[in-house]
Amino acid sequence: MSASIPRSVFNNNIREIYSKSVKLGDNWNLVAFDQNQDIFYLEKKEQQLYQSDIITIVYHVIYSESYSVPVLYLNISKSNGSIFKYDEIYSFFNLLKLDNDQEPIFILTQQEHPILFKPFYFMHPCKTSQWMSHTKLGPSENLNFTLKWLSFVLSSLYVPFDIKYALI
Amino acid sequence: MADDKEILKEIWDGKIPICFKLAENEWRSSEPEEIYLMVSRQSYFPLVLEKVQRHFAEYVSQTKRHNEVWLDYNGTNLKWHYPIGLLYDLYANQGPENQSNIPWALSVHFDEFPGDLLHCESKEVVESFFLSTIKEADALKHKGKIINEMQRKDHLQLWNGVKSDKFEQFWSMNKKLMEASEGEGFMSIPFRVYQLDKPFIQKLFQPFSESGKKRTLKDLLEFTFGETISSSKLILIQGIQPSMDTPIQWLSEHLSYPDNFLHICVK
Repeated sequence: MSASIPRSVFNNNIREIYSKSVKLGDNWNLVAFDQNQDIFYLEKKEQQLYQSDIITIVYHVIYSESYSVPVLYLNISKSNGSIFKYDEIYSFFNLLKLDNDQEPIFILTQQEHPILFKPFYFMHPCKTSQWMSHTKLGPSENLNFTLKWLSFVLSSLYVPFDIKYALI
Repeated sequence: MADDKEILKEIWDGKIPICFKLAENEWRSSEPEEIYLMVSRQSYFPLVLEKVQRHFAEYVSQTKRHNEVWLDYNGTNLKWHYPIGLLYDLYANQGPENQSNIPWALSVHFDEFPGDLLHCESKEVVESFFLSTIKEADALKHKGKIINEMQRKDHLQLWNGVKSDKFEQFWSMNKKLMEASEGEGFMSIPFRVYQLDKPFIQKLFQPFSESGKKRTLKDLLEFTFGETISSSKLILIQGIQPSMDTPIQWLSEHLSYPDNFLHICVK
């Protein structure tokens, strides 16, 4: 049993997340990339002081047609514009690379961004559907699939996510 | 499928002669000699560059010797995560009548790693990238059922087949990923269409029409571009110009790269 959603549901989901973000004073933005093809995504940009540099973190929530699930893409750039390398991104999120006997599908892998075609790190979606099916949250239920998924993936990166998203 | 083994082998054996030259501003006292290698179309540059890097390392400044190397062809930075055959077809292949780009002359860089390329610090990164692409392909073909039922050792067999250029090792496992029910084919065809100076296009495309008719390469390109494609265009898959009437299911099973995607160049 697996759980996935069509693009139309995803688009409704991220519109809802965006309006909650506005109410909560959070910084998620809704980006209309190609209205004719219904391609929308969520974006959040944050700046913070890290190792005496001001870094910019960008998160994108994008729909994968191949997997029919949302995918998280992210990048961190330094004040001189250069992008974090693997070891920097892993130490920033306190992630460990997997053991040798496990498959080296890293938790975060660098890939071409599917819309911007620039290098971005992404969380591999091959397990998302399985993962979401364990939550007993089918697409038919009147709950926001993408919101629930987002709270999982952000917590796996130790990124705080306001619990009020579930309450309003 | 069994009768087609010769075709699979022929595709697998496709090779490109490459001339690697150290980029002009990167050598210190004397210009090193070029290196010539015969490289598999199915492979990835980080898997073949070890020798090249070692050869040129003593000619660059000591601080840069262990940098990540990268390549350019006539000023275009080459993406290591595309199969080598695809890069050649996209940027240098001018069709079967014109062989002026053989050997393919590439510049090797140790310095100023470009921001538009993915980092590749180890072969594990290539393995991770390869497996993630083949998983996406199976998500399109079989909802990921076959690749997810395989064990770690099966994935390793696929990867080692590519890494060591072993046809039997790769295909004895890959044939499972190419299974399709008669008259239905894959759920969707994993394909990407590449053009110069544009992002690639990837869409959902079924190999059979609703009435059960086999869809062809022509159908796929019309679907991709929303119009009939000009006959003056050069269409290349694995260095070959297939007939536009070839069923797309057959092409997917036979002319896909090891990552299970049909990489189609239109120029």
